[in-house]
Order: sequence, then structure tokens, then C-alpha cells
Amino acid sequence: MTGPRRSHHGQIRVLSDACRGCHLCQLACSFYKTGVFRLSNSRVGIRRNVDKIERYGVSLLDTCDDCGWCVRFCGYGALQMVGGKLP
Amino acid sequence: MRKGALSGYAGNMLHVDLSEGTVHRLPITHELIVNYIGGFGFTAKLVYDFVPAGIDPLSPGNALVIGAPVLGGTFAPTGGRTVVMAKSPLTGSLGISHMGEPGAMMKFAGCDQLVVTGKAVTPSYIKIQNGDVQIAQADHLWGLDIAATTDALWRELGGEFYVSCIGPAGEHLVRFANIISNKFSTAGRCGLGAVMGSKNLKAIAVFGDGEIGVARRSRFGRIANEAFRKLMESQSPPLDIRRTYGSLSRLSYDYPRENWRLRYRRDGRAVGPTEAFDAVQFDRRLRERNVTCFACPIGCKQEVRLKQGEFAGSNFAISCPMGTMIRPFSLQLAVDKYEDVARCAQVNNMYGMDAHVIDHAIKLFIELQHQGIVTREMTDGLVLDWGDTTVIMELLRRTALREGVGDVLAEGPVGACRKLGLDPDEYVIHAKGNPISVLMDPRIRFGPEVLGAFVNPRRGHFDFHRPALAVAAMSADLPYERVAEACKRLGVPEGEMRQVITGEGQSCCDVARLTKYSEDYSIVTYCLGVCEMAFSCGAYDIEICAHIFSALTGIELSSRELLQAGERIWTLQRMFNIREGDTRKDDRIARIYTQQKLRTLGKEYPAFSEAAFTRTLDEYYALRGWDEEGTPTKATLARLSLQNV
Repeated sequence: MTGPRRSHHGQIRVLSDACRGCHLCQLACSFYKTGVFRLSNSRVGIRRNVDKIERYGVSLLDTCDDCGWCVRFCGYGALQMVGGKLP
Repeated sequence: MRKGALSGYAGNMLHVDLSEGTVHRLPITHELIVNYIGGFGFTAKLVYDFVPAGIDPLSPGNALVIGAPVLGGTFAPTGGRTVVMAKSPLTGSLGISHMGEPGAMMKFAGCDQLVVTGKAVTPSYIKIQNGDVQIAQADHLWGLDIAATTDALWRELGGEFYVSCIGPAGEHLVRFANIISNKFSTAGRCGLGAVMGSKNLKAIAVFGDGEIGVARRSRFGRIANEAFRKLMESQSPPLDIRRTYGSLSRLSYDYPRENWRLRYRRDGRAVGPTEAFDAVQFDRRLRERNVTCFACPIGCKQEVRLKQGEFAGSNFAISCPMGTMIRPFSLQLAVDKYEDVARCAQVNNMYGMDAHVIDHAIKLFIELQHQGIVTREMTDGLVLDWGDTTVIMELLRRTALREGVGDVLAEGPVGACRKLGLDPDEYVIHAKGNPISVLMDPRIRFGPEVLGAFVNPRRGHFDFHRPALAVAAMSADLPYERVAEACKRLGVPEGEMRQVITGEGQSCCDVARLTKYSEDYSIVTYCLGVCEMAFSCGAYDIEICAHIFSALTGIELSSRELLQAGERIWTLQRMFNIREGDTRKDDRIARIYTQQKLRTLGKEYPAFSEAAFTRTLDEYYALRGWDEEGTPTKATLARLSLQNV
């Protein structure tokens, strides 16, 4: 198990428009925080906007500690680390 | 993780009998995993077990099986690829089709495999939520197109549900109707949407919040991180090219460039260059942004927005801009305007039809009308011609609804020929009823993609042969060592490497041998759920497949054992088709290739040698341990523990 741990002092910035709904961030968060893959274990929330094609709303829960694993697995730039290093 | 649960699997295979209204749970055993891995392998086993021999594909007894992959639901990148199988109403053989969703969500909902048999009395949909299965009425959805059906279920159930549905074409039993998940992810081939329609099954909606356990977390995390890095840093082609151009990005890797700016006729003869419908123009004029499947950082699907014309402003997702938009409507049917090509693709998708088949069918009818075989009376007054968007759209509608001439088109080009009393082999390039892409042609180049199109159990497509195609293309340009490296990723043994690459007397690679290795490797990746887009960047070579499988499940299988399971699954699929009566004659090469020259852009290529194909097929059968008729021998079945099939 590589996480969870806090290895930096950055903050995660969310850009929902860039999200493509791949859910990799949620899966990474769930895995490194709880050791299993479960969407509700994640501290990242993703909601499909059913009125628009493939548009998603991304949010971070209060329990997020900015560890950055979600950012590492976001290939689309919807989650970005500001002022810190990725795990 | 649930006590006693299998790591990596949801732990349940569900059998829904729509006639009886019952749901049964089937066990996943250690023996099943070792022999069939999961995902695609389980699906192949279930469809073999559940489909009675000789059954009408559109009768209640046919079984539709949807398989969630082993890596589905994890963060192993691209690991969500889902497979659908049934006996195909288009070919009468095994029907296989893939899509990027909803396998991962199936597993969160507690379902590794879904088997659907029987027929509902009235239109229905299946709802699976956290292990609970309901058969709900779908009268209000029947008749709606793909987008309207999906939107209606999202409104009813919530946007978190993954909705896979059929359009009007599936309801009307069009033999090449498809299934589309979340409006874009398409199980397009083999007419499996018609199987859903024959069961009065409009949609399957899945959501769950279950968990997927990992046996060896540190190891699994390390491998998945590395695979993610390789995908993001890939240069073959670079990630931004894959994202921007989707399946168009593969063109220059898969085919000679001069092949794809042409307009083709049914015999493969190019009749002139189209407007330059190239990837750059696609990006500038149509593309809005990319769209992705579950757990994929590549995002090769595309959202299109029409900027001009009658439908300016409308936007929609296209799963494969090459296969569902440009090839069928620009290359095949000669629609010239970008917006019209996109609009045709959208309309076809919303009806829920396989663009690989409808284009061949319409093209056939245009030519038959020009030859006077199809009269204007037969088309209810419609004058058919190349590039006539209005007429093509009307034919799409009539086909989806089986109105008038559409009732004939809905049989597919081969079935349509038979209805008209014509010999399909004279008119259609096909493999047992499944038309073959005009982008490949043995008269220009004979490679694994051509052999693959004929020995593939689902016929007419080379979805198991893309790795071989990549290697074959490399073998023409790159040094031996680079090609050997790619072959090693597929699992080609050192002792056979030189034979595979040089072909020992053949023009480039050993087509039969490379085809076999590509198939076994591809089966393994499809069991895991890895997309073919991931092969060329080296994210999942066969050794990585073995490591990640073992780390996730805790079951140690070597790459050799996985490849043998791949061979077992491939052979089981062959046995499915043998049971349906297939013999060597069903693997024969399309007659147009061997009897007609190909003229293209001022060049003339001779007819392809049938003897050369026969020789390669013999070699392929021998490598597979099949007899001269293409039937696996008793010794082969025993070696693969398939004595009882």
C-alpha cells in the first residue's frame, strides 16, 4: 500500500469543464484511502449532467486532504495541484 | 471487502429469464477462472453453454450474454472494455461485439456476467442496482431512438445509471441493429441489438456502489501506475493525436494513406478522390471535444457539433469517427459535405444500426438500380444515387423501420441479394454475411487483418488482429530488433521469432503464425478489459497482463497459462461455430478478391491468388491444431481441457 499519506502542502483545484467522466480520480482516491475500489469511498464526487452530452460536475468532499492521487490519475486536467507535489 | 468474496470479481453471474420472469445466480469457481480468466472468457463459455445448437437467433431460446471485464471497476487504465455475445442474426455464427461501457458499473452493481434468455410478453427493460434485479415495463420507451430512450431512463432512474439500449432498428429486428451504451459506447457488430429486440428487451440500466477488492494492493497499484504513465507518454501515436482524431489517428498506422482518401464501390474499386476528408479537417469543422469510456485516460471517442447547415448547433457523440462516420458515409456512399456526413452518422446511430453493414447495403442498392436490377417501383419511387444525403437518410429510416425497400435492406447486403435472387458472392465482399471494410484489400496487401477477417468467429472484422497488423506494418519499415520487441509483447516465443517476422520465404511476416499469436494475446486483453488502443504504447504486454491479473485476483497465472487460456477460449468459439454447422467453406476468401482486378488511382492490382489464401489457411489450421476442415482435433481439445464440448 503506497497511501494514504500527505506528502505535500498543495491544494487541489477543480475544473469541471475539463472532466470527461472517466472516474479514474474516484477510483484512485478510493484505492489509496480505503484499499478497495468503490465509488462512494472516494472523496471526489462526479455527477453526470444528463441535459448535456458527456458533461460532468466534479466536487471535492470536505474529507479531502489534498493528497493528490486523484490529480495523478486525471488525464484531462480537470483536477490540478496548485502549490505542491504529486505523490 | 466482503468476507469470502473473490478479489477482482463482483462474484455473481446473473441469469435473467424474461419468459419466466426469474433471476438465477451462477457461481464463479476457481476452475472457471483458471480456464477462462473472466470477462470475455466467461462470456464465451456462457454463450456456448446457454445457446442451443441450431436455434433461430431471433427466437427466445437465443441467449444474450454481457460480460464485465476482470479489470473493470479498478483504476487499471482502459480496463472497462465490455463484451456482448449471442448467436448472430446476421451471420448465423457466434456474434461478438465490444463496447467501453457498462462493464465496470455492472461489477459495482454486483454482476460479472448477465445472461438474458426468453422473451418478455411486453416491452421491458432490466434494472440492476446493487445486486437487485428487476424486470420493468418499457411500453413508454418502445419506439424511441437511442438518445430519447437513454434520456428517459436517466430522468426516471438518475444520471448515475449506465443505460445500454436499442433503437427502432433493434425493435424491428434489423439484422445488424446495435446496442449503444450511454448514447455513445457502441456494441455495433453482428446484430446483437436485434437479439435484444427479439426478446422485447429495450434497455439494461445498471448502477451500483459495491466494492471491488484487490488481493495484492501494493503490487497492483505499482503496475496500474506504470500502465497509466505509459499511456500518457505514448508516442505511437502521441496521446493528443489519439484524443483529437480518435480512430482516425490509426489510419496512417493501419493502412497506406492513399487507400483512404478514395471513394469505393462494392467491388473495392476506387472511383475517385472525395473531398479531402482528413483528420485535420474533421477537427476544424466538426469536432467539439473528446469523450471517454470508463477508466480510460485516452478518450478517443468524439463529440461532434454541427456548425453549418439545417442542423447547425446540434451536437452528439460518435464512438468511432472512422468506422461509423467517414468510412460509411464519405468513402462508401460519397456524401461530400462534412456536416451531411456527420448528420448521417448521427441519424444512423439514433436508429441503432451498424454503419459497417448499412453502408454496404445502400451502396449495393445504388449500383443495382443503376444496373436496372432494382427498379424505381421497388424503391417506391426513390432514385438512388451516390452522395444524395436526402435519399440516404430516407433509406436509413426505412431500413430501421423495415418500411418498403427498407425491409430488404434490413436483411443486410448478403440477405438482400438472396431476397432478390442474386448470388451475394458476385456482389458483396463479405465473410459469411458480414461485410468487410473497404480499407483493407489483399489485392493491395495481404496481411493478418485479411486472414483474420475470415477466421474470426464473428467474421468480417479484425478486432483480434490489430496487434498483428501493427507488427506487420512495422516489419515493412523497422529493424528486426524493433519488430521482435513488439512480437515479444504479444507473447511470441523466442524460438519462433525469426519465423514470425521474416516469414521464411513469404513477402513479409508469417501471416498465419502472427495471426494466431495476435488472437491469443487479444483474447487475454479482452478478458482483462484492456482496450486495443493500449497495445501500441506497450502499456499491457503479455507479461504485464499476467502480473496485473495475479495482483488483482491473488491467483497466480503465468503469461504462458494466460495465453493457453486465450487459445482455449478461441477454440471454444470455433466449436460454437462448428456446432452451428460451419466448415472450411465458411472461412473461404471473398470471391470478388480472387476473381476481379482492383483499379485504384491509376494503378491496377491483379486478382488475389486463391491458392495463396488456401495455403495460409492450411498453415493457420495446422498451427491451431485443427484438421483440414477447420475442426479442432480430439488431441487439441484434450490439450485444452475441452474434451466435453
